[in-house]
Amino acid sequence: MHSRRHFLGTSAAAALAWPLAGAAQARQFDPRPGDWRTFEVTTRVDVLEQRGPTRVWLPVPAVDSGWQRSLENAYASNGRARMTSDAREGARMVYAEFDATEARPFVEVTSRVQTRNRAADGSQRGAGPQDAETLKYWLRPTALIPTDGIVRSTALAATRGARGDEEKARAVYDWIVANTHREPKVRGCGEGDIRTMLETGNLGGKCADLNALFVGLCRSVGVPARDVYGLRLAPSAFGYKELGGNPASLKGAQHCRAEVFLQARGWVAMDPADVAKVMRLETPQWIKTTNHPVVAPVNRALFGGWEGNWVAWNTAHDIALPHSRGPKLGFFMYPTGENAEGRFDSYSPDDFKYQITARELPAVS
Amino acid sequence: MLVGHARRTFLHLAAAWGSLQVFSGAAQAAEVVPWPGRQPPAGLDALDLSGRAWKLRALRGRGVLLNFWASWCEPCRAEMPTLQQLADFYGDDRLAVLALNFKEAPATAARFAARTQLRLPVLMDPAGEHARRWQVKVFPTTVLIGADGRPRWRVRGEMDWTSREAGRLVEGLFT
Repeated sequence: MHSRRHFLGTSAAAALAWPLAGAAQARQFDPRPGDWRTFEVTTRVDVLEQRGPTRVWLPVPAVDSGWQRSLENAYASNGRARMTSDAREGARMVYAEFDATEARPFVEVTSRVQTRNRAADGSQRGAGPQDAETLKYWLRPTALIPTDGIVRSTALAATRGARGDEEKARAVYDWIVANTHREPKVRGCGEGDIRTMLETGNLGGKCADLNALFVGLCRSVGVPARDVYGLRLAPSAFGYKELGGNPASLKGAQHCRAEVFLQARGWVAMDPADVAKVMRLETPQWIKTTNHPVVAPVNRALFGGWEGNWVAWNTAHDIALPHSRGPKLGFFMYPTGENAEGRFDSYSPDDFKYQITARELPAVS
Repeated sequence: MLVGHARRTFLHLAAAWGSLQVFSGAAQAAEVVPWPGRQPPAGLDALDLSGRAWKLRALRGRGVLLNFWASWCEPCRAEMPTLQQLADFYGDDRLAVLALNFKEAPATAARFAARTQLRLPVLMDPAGEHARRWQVKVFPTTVLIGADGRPRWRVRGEMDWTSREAGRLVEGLFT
């Protein structure tokens, strides 16, 4: 009896201590370039309320690099569907249009892609030297990413004392990690432009695109940078629940990463937004320091690297969707639809329903 | 409700402060800023969901709250019930509370209104032209316009429109 009570007592104490001990335990996050992984990603869109002629656009992978190979796409629809791309930025997509007579419009796209991890140690270099015009292109402002005013003044303050492009990129990365997901000054939302984000202090949640802010701050101090818009495909191999997706249901798994061009290393992976996400959401407590054992490995590795459990659609901004009568998109990461009344809300299941799934295929050499 | 001298004193103090932080929640504030004296109103010429045209000059003689919102904006959705309560309290013969939807399809705005039993006039700004003219970049933003047609206040962010602070702002529209 005594030994059982003793056992129960110590077990209870252990059970209470265990969650805390688990949360504080050092974790590992060290994506290394290795074998290619092959995925099939399927998106199906159903237009629920047919109100006249309708048009739908679905992004497909348009990036080919040392860390992604965009392979073939197949699609099916009861409308008229075809592969196309925007004229300027190279974002590829399946476009489908439906007459008013089609009662239940649908389009389904399956894309095959290969991905692999990127490393933080420079062992996997980018595409080599870039010409001046190309680099100037990746310094330009866009509709949602201005590079003057409060964006530039914030970047200058964040990079004070930094020498060279890598130190500047590091300073901006650290600024994003340290300053985002705090309580906003004004309880309101912007349209997604980084100027309004900075003015309101609203740097978390759906209203913010932290990697767009990273890109804008880098561009404003002369470091070429770009967003890479895509979708998480699978859980993280390192057990971080916030850094992966459930392949059975990926409709909310869109994620934007970033890259900077460093003179010595070429295009380098960056994802400070995911560091901020781990700090805010990985454990029940909001972690406020990057020295925390759960955060430190992620903070280290996502400056220069990332896991290959994600597909890149494109790096496009200010996209004019072919055949659209609506305004340009700031970015193209979600299925998009419109009819004569205007654009559907890509976040609303009432306008059109979509689901995205993925499956990993056996290795292909 | 402030009356007479006390109300005038409040308005003078608020102007002297430059801006007024009104706390509507634990950590966030709506930012209330007096309308710059020399800046004319940007005008209103929009249709509501039933196709009726609304123009600002036709509303002279009534106070006006012009609320810029979108259904994807959670703080906008959160403050809508109190805007409805404010409109019901004053009645539309004294105060016109107009919900100007930013860049969404009419069906989306209509669905939101139906789901939430919103009875305010829902006006449409499909290209964001009104938001641009009124320099609205944060949602919700509410411009308070006096019965004489002159804008008095710009409120950026979510506000509890049934609060005493909101009441003081609205009462000033009728003088």
